[in-house]
Amino acid sequence: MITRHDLSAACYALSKAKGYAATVVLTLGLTLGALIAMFNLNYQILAAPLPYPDEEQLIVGSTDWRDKDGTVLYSDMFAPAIMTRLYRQPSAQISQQALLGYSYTALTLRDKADTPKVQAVYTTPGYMQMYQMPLLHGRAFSAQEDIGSHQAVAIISEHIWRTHYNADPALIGQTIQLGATAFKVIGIAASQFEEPHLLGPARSNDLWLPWDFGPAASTTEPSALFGWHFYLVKLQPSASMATFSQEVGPQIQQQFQDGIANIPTQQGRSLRFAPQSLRDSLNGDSGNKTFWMLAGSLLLLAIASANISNLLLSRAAQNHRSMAIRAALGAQRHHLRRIVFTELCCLLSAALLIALLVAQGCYLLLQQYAGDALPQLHLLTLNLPVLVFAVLVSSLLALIFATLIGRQLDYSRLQRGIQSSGKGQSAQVKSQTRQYLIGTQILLATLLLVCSAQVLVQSIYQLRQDIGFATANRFQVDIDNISPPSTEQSAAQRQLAERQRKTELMQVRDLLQLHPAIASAAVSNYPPVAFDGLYGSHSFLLQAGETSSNVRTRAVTTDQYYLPMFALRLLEGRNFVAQEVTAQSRVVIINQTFANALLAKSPGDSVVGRQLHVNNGEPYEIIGVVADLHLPDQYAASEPLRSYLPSNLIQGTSLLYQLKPGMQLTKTELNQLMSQVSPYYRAANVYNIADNVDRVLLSNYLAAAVTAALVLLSFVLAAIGIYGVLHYNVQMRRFELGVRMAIGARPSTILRQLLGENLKPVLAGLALAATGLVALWLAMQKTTFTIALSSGGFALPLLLIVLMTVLTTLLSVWSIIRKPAIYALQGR
Amino acid sequence: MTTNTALNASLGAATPATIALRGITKVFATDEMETHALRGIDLDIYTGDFVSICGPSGCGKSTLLSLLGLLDMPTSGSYQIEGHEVSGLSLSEAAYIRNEKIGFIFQSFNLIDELTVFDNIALPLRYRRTSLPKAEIEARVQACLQKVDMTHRAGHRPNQLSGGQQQRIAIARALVGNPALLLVDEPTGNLDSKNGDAVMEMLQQLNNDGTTLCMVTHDPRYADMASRKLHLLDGRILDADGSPLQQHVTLKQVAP
Repeated sequence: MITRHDLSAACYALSKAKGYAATVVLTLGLTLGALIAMFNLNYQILAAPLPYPDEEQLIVGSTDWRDKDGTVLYSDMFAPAIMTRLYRQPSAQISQQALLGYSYTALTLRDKADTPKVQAVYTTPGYMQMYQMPLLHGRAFSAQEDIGSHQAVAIISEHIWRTHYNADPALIGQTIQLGATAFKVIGIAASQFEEPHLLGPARSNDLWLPWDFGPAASTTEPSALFGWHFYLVKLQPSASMATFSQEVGPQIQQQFQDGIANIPTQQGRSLRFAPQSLRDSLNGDSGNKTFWMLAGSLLLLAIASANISNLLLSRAAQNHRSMAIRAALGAQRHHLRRIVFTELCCLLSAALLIALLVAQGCYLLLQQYAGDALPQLHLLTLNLPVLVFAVLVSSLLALIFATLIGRQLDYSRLQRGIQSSGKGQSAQVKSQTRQYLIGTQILLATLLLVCSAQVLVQSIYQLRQDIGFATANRFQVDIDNISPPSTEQSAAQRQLAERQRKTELMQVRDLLQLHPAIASAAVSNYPPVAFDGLYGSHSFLLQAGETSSNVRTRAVTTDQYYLPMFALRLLEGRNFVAQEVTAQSRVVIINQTFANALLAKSPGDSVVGRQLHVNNGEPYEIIGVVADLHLPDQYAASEPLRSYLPSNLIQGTSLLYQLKPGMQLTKTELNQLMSQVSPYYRAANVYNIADNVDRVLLSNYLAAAVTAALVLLSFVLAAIGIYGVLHYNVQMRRFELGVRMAIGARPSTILRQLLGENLKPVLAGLALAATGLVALWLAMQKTTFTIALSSGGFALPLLLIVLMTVLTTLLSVWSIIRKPAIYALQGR
Repeated sequence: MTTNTALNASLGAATPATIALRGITKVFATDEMETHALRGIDLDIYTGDFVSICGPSGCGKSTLLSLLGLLDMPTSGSYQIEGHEVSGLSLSEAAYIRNEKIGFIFQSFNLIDELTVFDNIALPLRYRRTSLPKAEIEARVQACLQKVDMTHRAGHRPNQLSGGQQQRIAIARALVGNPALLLVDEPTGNLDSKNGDAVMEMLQQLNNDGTTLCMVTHDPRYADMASRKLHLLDGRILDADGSPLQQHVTLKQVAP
C-alpha cells in the first residue's frame, strides 16, 4: 500500500526533476489523450446505447438495385410503389412501421421575408412512436394523418420555432407556407430529440411533413426507384431481421420483376431487399475508419511508452544511489518497487488529468472538423466507460513500467552498491545497451516519421493541386420552386413546363447579369461541386444501337455562360452558342477523360465532330472537350466521364453567379429579381462554391492535419526519447568526461567525440529503418493498396533525425562542457 | 546451537560475542584473475565493544565492513550475529537482519535527498518486518533527534544541512532501530576537523552508553579512541608486531 510518506517523497523527488516529470507527463498525456478520444469515438459508434427503446428491434429497410450480372448498380434504393404496398399490408413480424423520405432540395419558410431555408422529411405516424419524438407543444401525427389522408399538417423543430417564430406557443394551429402548400403546425419537436441521421450526421431536419406531400408519394410504377427514402420497422420481440427479410424480400423482388416486365433496358435487373439494423445504418462504414484511428492512437501510445521506458530506465539509474541506501537500511524488494510504483502513480495520475483534457480537445476538434463525416460526435463527452478505460490503461501502464524498472533493480547489486557509492561511482548500463537504446529510438522514430510524412506530402500535394475550375466569388443559389408539379401532366405537358421553367430561369439570369454587383451568371442543374454532393447523370451509347456500349456520365445541363464563368478550359472545339441553348440542340461538350476513352475505343486525332447516341434517340454531336477536374470524389476513384449539355433543366435547378470583387448580393435582392420573372421562385439558400470545394476536400484537409500532427508528435516523441537516452548516456559518463576535460579536452573536442559516438547507432537505426521500410513497401505491393512515394517524404524525416541527433547531443552535454571540469569530477 | 554453546563455553566468555567471524574469506573473481580481499578472518565483537579497523587502501577494510553489515556474503567461513549463523541467508532475510540488528554510518552520509530529516531517520523503522505504531516511530525518531541535538531540523531536507549536521542525522538514523552493532565507515572522512571531532565525541559517548561500535578509519587519532584496535593488511588481521593475529581458537579445535 502506498503511504503518505511514499507519496510525499515521490512528489518531492519529481519536483527536483521537473524536466523529466514534465516530459513524461506531457508525452503520456498527449498520447493517452488521443487514445481515450479514439476509444470514446469507437465506443459511441459501436457500443453506446442508442437513445431509442428496443434499439435492437429497429430496422432500416432499403433495397439494392442490381444489374443482370448481380453487380450492385445502386444501393439504398427505395421503390415507393412497392414499399407503400408493403406498408399498407404489413408483415405480422413487425410491431411498428413508418415510411421516411428526405426532401432532395431545401424548402423555404415562405411567410418570412428572408425565406429561411429548412430541411424536411416526409413520414408517417409510426416514425414519432418508434423514435419517441419528444414534443414541446402540440402532438405527433395521428392515424388520421397517415398515408393517403393528404392532411397538410407539420411538426417543426424547436430550433425553427425559437429562431423564426419567437417561441410563440400560439403557432400551434396556425399555418406556415411551404412551397405551394399551407401546412398547419400541430407540434413542436423538443430540441432533445435525437433524430436518427440516416443520411449521415450532416443532414438534420427542421420539419416533419406527412408522407403524402413528399416526392415519392405519387409514384405508382414499381420500377421507379428513389434514393434517400427508407422503410422503417420495429420487429416483434420474437422476430429476427433474417426471418423478416425472408418474408418480405421475395415479395419486393416479384413486384419489381412485374414492374419492369415491359421495359427492355431493365431486363435481367433485380431489386434485393437489404435491411440493416438501425445502428449499422446510422454508422455506415464509420466503424472501419474509427477503428483505424484507434489503432493509430494505440501505436502512438506504444511508441511513446517505448520512449518513456528509456527515460524511466535513465531515471532508475540516476536513483540507484538512493535505492542502494534504502537497501542498506533493510528495504526489501517490495519496498523498492513501491517507491518506483508511487512515483509512477504520481506521473500517470498527472498524465491522466492531461489526457482527459487532451481528449476533450480532441472531441472539440472532431466536432468542429469531422462533424459532417462521422456519426455520434455530438455525444462525445467524458462518461463512465471512458473514465474506467482511461484509469485501466493508466494503471496498466504504471504496472508495465513498474515491472520493467523492477526487473532492472538488481537487488543484490543494490545491496553491494552502497559500498562503492561513497567513492564517487555509481551504477552504469553497458555501453552496448546504450547504443542499442539509441538505435531502437532512431528505428522507431524513422519508421513513424517516414510513414506519416509520406501521407502528409501526398495530402498537401492533393490540396495544392489546381482543381481545374475557378471558385472565388462564385455562388450557387438553391431555388425553392413552387411551380405546379409536373408529375400529373402528360409527357408533352411536362416538356412544355420544363421549357417554360428554363426560359424563366434564363430571364432571371439575364436580369442578374444586369445587376451592378454581378460579373457573370448562368443556369445549370449543378455547379462543378454542389453543396449537397449531388450531381446529374446522362447515359450515352458509344455505338448506335449497342446497349453494351452504354456509359454513364456526370451530366451538367446548362447554358453558354457556364464554362467561362468557372474558367473551365476548353482544350478543343467550342462552347455552346445562345441559339443552341434556346433550341436545346443535341450537342455535347465532354471532358478529357471521356475524350480519351473514346479515342481509345476508336483512335483518331480528335473527338470533336463525332457523335454520341442515346437509347432510341437522335445522336448528340461532340462540339468541344474541356479539361478534367481534379477533386477527390466519394463516388469515383478517378476522374469520371463528364458531359455538358444545353438540354432541358429539371426541378432543383440552380442559378449560378459570380460577384465582382468586393461586391455583395443579398437573398432579398435575389428574391426581388426572381419575382420580376415568376412568383414561383425563391432563393432557398446561397452557397459559396469555394465552401463546397472545401467540403469535398475536407478528408484531405483532415488527413493533412492529422498527419501533420502525427509528424510533429512523432518528432517530439522521438526527440524526447533520443534526448532521454543521450542525456542518460552523458550523465553516466559525467566523471569520465570530467577527467577528459581535466587533462585538456576542449568543449568542442568532447562534443565532437560524443557526436561521432552517437552517430554510429543513429546510422545503424536508420539502416534498420530503411530495411523495414523496403520490406513494408514490398509487402504493400502484394496488396490492393497503391502507394505513391515522394522523395520529400523520405528526405524530410532523415534531415530531421540527423538534426535532432546533433541538437540533442549538444543539449545533453551542454551542462557539462559549459562548466569547469571540477564540476563534472565532483558530480556537481 | 550446540556448536555455539560449545564455542562460548570453550572461550570461557562471561558474555557471548555479539559478532563472531570464523575463517571468513572473500574472493572477487573476474574472467582473468581472482582477488583475495579477505583471507581467513577470525573476529569476535562483544556487546559494548568499540573496535576500530585500520589499514592501508586495498587491505580489505571496506570489504570486511560490507560483510559485517550483510551487504555482501563471504566466499567461505562462518558469520554469527548473537549466535545465529547469517552467512548463508537469502538477500531478503539478510535485509531483515540488517534492518533489525545493524546500524550504518557512512563516510558520505548517504541520506536520501527526497526525504526530510525526520523521514530519513524513520526509514529503518518503516522497513521493519512487523510495522510499528506511528506514535512509537515518532517517539523513537524524536529521541534520536534529541540525542544528536537536531530536533530543530526535523522538517528540513538533507541538502539544507551542513556536512556535520548530515553526519549527525546519519548517526541518528543508525541508532533509531536500537541495533546490536553500529558499523561506522570513515565517519569523519568528509568532515573538517572540528566537525570530525564532534562526531567522534558523539560516537565515544554512544559507546560509553553501551552501544557496540565497529569503525573503519584511516585517522590514527580516532582509531586510538576505540577500546580495541585492529590492523588489516592484505586481507588479514595483524597483531601488534605485524604477524597474523590468532585471536581465537577455530571451531574445529573446540568441537567435542
